Amino acid sequence: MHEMSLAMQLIEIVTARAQAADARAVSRVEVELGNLAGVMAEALEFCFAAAAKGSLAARAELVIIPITAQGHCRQCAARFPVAGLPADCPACGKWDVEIQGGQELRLAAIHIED
Amino acid sequence: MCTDCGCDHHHDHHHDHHHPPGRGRVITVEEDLLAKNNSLALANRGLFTSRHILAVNLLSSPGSGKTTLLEQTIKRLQPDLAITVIEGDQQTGRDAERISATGVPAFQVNTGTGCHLDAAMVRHAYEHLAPPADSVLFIENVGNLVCPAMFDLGEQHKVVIISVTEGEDKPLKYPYMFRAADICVITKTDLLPHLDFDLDQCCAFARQVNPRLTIFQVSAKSGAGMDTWCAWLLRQREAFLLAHG
Repeated sequence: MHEMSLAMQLIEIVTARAQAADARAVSRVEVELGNLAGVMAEALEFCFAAAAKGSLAARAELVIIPITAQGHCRQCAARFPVAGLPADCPACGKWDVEIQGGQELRLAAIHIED
Repeated sequence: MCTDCGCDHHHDHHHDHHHPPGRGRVITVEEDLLAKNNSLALANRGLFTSRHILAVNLLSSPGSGKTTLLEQTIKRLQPDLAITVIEGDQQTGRDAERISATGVPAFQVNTGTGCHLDAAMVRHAYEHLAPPADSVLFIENVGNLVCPAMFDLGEQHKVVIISVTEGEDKPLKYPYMFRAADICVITKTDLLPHLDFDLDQCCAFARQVNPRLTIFQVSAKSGAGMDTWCAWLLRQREAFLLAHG
């Protein structure tokens, strides 16, 4: 259940940024989540609600922005979106695929109330 | 579920209703949630490198034979090589006791309810262990093929271990770990005659997930494959010393 430690880390960053901006509260938290980051969006949402309790983000909405990994076949040079692992090339069927992105787990922005 | 209106949450769902009145602002952050762990891991890596300590992170399910592999590896590499070990488990100091019995210093980290080691825990253990310069530091992670894949500890190599008493399709079931690792060790190969485990299929699955994976097959019990595995470790150490010495 690494989502709980990630949610606590998220709240720590959100709170620090909100306090630095003299915010009264945080209304919205936007997180970019890659589809190969190894994090379940539903579990992160569940843990976010628990971790946010009593913080400036207690009433904040968590918005998860999904990001899809891109594959590049080292054999035939095809480029394609990667839905999951393992990833074979849809053009030539080989498994020698270089994967770009999909590991994102990033706090993109927060919406605050003054 | 949305905390504002209680609706079922969809990722492309926009809220244009009921937000509290008052002046709102958007602050762009763009900060990685693992940034804290990653920067601590980077510091660990710098420290290990400056002291010529080759750090190897061992990852697997519970019961794959990590500690036995480590015991037998230590027996073969000692006394030519200074070795220390960080043991990660939820509870007990049993593994550190087993390693200490081989004569090398070991430090046990208990994660309690935690499911993985992180860079801060490794740094804490390192300070206690005080490994000598020019040594090898093995980090036996908590038995778990999921969470530890995400947490960089500052190691030079991630070694995923799978035993032949598990299913040969484990690389497909836990692809993130097999993708994160650069080395795979298949253990307990002495049991193969008694099992239906398809070794070639397991290797093929592992390479589907990670075409760059280097695979070793060993039996810590019979000793089969142990020389090849230990020779690889010694070569890595020599290459590490050449690169950073």
